[in-house]
Amino acid sequence: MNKYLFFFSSINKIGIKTILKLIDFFGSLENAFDSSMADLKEFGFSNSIIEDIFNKKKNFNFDNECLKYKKLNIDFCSYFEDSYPAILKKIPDPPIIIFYKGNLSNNLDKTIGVVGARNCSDYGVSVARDFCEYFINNDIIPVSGGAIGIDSISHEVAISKNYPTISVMGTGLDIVYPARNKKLFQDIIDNNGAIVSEFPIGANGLPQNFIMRNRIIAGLSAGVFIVEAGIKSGTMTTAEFAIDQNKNVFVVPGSIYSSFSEGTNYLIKNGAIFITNPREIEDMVWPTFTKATAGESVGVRRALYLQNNNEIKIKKPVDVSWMNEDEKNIFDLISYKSINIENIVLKSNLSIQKINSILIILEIKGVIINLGGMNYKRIEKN
Amino acid sequence: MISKIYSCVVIGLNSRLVEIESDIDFGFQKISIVGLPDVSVNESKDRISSALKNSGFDLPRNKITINLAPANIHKAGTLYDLPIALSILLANGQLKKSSFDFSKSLFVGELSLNGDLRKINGILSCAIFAKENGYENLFIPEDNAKEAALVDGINIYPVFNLKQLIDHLLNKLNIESFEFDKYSYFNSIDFIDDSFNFKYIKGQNHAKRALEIAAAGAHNILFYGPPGSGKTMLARSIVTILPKMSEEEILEVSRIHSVAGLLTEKQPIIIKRPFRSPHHSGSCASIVGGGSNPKPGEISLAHRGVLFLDEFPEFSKIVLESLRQPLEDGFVTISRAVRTIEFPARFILVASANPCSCGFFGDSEKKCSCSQLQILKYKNKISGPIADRIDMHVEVPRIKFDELSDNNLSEDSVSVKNRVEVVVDIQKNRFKNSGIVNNSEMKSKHIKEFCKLDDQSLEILKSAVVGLSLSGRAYNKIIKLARTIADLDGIEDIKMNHVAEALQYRRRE
Repeated sequence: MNKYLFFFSSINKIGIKTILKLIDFFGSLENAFDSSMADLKEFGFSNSIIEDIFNKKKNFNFDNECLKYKKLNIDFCSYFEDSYPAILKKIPDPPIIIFYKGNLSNNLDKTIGVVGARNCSDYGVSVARDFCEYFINNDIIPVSGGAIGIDSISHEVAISKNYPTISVMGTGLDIVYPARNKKLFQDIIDNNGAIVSEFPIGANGLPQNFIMRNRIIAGLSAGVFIVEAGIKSGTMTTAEFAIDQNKNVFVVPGSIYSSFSEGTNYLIKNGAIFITNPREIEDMVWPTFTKATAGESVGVRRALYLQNNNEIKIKKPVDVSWMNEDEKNIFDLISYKSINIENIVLKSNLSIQKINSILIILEIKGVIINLGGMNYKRIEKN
Repeated sequence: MISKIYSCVVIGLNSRLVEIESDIDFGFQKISIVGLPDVSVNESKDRISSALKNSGFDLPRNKITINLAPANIHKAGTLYDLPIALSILLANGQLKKSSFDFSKSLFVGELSLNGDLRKINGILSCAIFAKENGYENLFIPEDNAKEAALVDGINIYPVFNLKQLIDHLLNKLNIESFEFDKYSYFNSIDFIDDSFNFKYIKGQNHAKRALEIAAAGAHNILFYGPPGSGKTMLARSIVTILPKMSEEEILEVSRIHSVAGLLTEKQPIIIKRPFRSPHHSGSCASIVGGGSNPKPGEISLAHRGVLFLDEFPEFSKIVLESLRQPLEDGFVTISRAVRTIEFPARFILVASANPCSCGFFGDSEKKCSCSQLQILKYKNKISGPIADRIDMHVEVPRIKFDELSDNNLSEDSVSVKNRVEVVVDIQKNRFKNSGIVNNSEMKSKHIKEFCKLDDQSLEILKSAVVGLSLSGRAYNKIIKLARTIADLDGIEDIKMNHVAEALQYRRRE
């Protein structure tokens, strides 16, 4: 890591483009660092930036800084290094330095941003859970923002399957925000995932930081999947960044009466890709190129896709060979649409204690799930 | 002449001896009571002088000093009226002709102005004290007779008025000692309140089964579900399946109610297991017990019965957290400046809660309008340590109309209760020498001794830790529940289906 690059990255309002210009103008960043106020003025910096540079220069000690990061177990790499995620280099405004905890050297070819509201409905929870499960089963790494709500769920699903996931922070990595996700973040690191931020340590969670954070979520993802969003929410800025970065925005529809889905329905109206099945995302972002689809736009690919797959069958028959007769009878009563335990009692001839123990066995074996309120449904096997 | 009469003071649930000494000396007419009397005791001198006059006795026109010994114990209540009046008469020589041996008798009772005796609180504690300390006779107000007669081995004399008692002491008249056939009385009460019979509850088989397990093993239970799903009705119906109380339990429970002054003419003894349902606005002192002279609270009144806390999360944080000790230990220690008192509080906690503030989270038909954050906040009102002390967490879904209109009656409470009583007997035999009564009270040591799991059960528990993300802390609770479920099946070794059913009642995160 070039210490002058590290220095200039800490100055407000200096992005990757300015860095390149500085190198052009001064020959190297070292020259730029040592140059006089007049030279910097000539380069075109405003007075406030020059003042900032000279203020910070006085106390700048690269070795000390490195030590601080090392103590906190935070790694960082610059735009010019190989370890910098390739996918992030392609966005219009990539961060000069990216700070991370954990492992950022995973293959980031197949990543999907999963974002949504902090306040979400049980529908949102259910969608996020089911879709993330599909992504992970198909080797797609979920990227999200580590907030509570949809963000946390996407991370949790990955952790439950011991799969890496990437969480992008809006603060310096020395700050845990939200504090109650402390364990979640540690789990992400332990599962070979990464906590990422473009902000140096000590940076507080200013509202604009969280918006810039959304740019990185979109940047690290091949496409962005939005579960639920209010009309004026941070999630909508993630969608905007994704569009700026020329990436697809995928949205599941919601009820027109639900305030949780106002944003997502608005996005659909304005051209986001409307999906009802996680496989559609996979097929559209990472198409298995055939002659017919190569080089076509997403819209055409989608049309071709639907033509070829009138029926999307993701529900494979469940292996029931291990079940005894009672278990099988109960399992047959439960479909992909939820059924309440009272109805199971009414429809079967078994005693409640028997039914209770069978339901638990089926739940442990992972073929059904209790959605809450003693409503059971089959788990979708992909 | 100094006279001495024996009476007792009720402290918490226990009694101590109080010696009442009177001395009559020359001087202006004045009664002074010493020995830490509170206002209610001090006022007794006015009641006594009227009662004596109206019963045809003379109040000495001298200086009367009354000492309540031991003088360092705070004395409250009205039970000293009778013994003080007697000691004055004795000191005055008006009982000179009596051959009665006062050293073997205790006197308690409140006097009305015309000399009649009124009911007092805590008589059971007095009777127990009298018996334990070798007193032969206990003179009490007539209205307290049945209550006191729960204690065997002493003569209970129900006294109607002061004149009658004096005549008895002077051998002019004989008060019969009170005989009470308590066993036929125990059996005369109709135990099942038909309006809460299980057979009238439609559907909710899952919740009814949970109640049966809770009643059998004395497990604490929390119902949660949307408004109108019948949580409250279910909780109340538990009284119809609770096992009968043993005689010791009747005595224990009645004693607490006696001290609290809750025994009435209609219900002189508590025979049915108590069911207490304090409102969620209740103060900590009212629910846990307290006051400067500590009185038992709702949790002690629910001893050996059920404490039903409807709208559990709405109770104040302080009240909920103060339930920790009693739920763990089965008693509550109340410390006040004057003294520290222990009240028993071993009850089944039945609680009900909505799943969120709008009430419809998880409902199959109505959509919950709460955000994830609101739901979390609502759930967090019940702290982890409290939730951990509740063995069974049961979801109660709303019943659909076609199930409500179903005319078939479900199982009668009587047959459920019979099964529960069988399990109570099993537990009685099992824990004979263990110092506990119920499966729910088992500690790790007892679990090791009494809960044998076969390989299959261990296997399912193991996979539950992974598959259902069960915490280690929940592990023992599941085994305790499985123990009760196996008992209901009449099986000694816990089998896989017992463990599986127990898992259904685990706490869901």
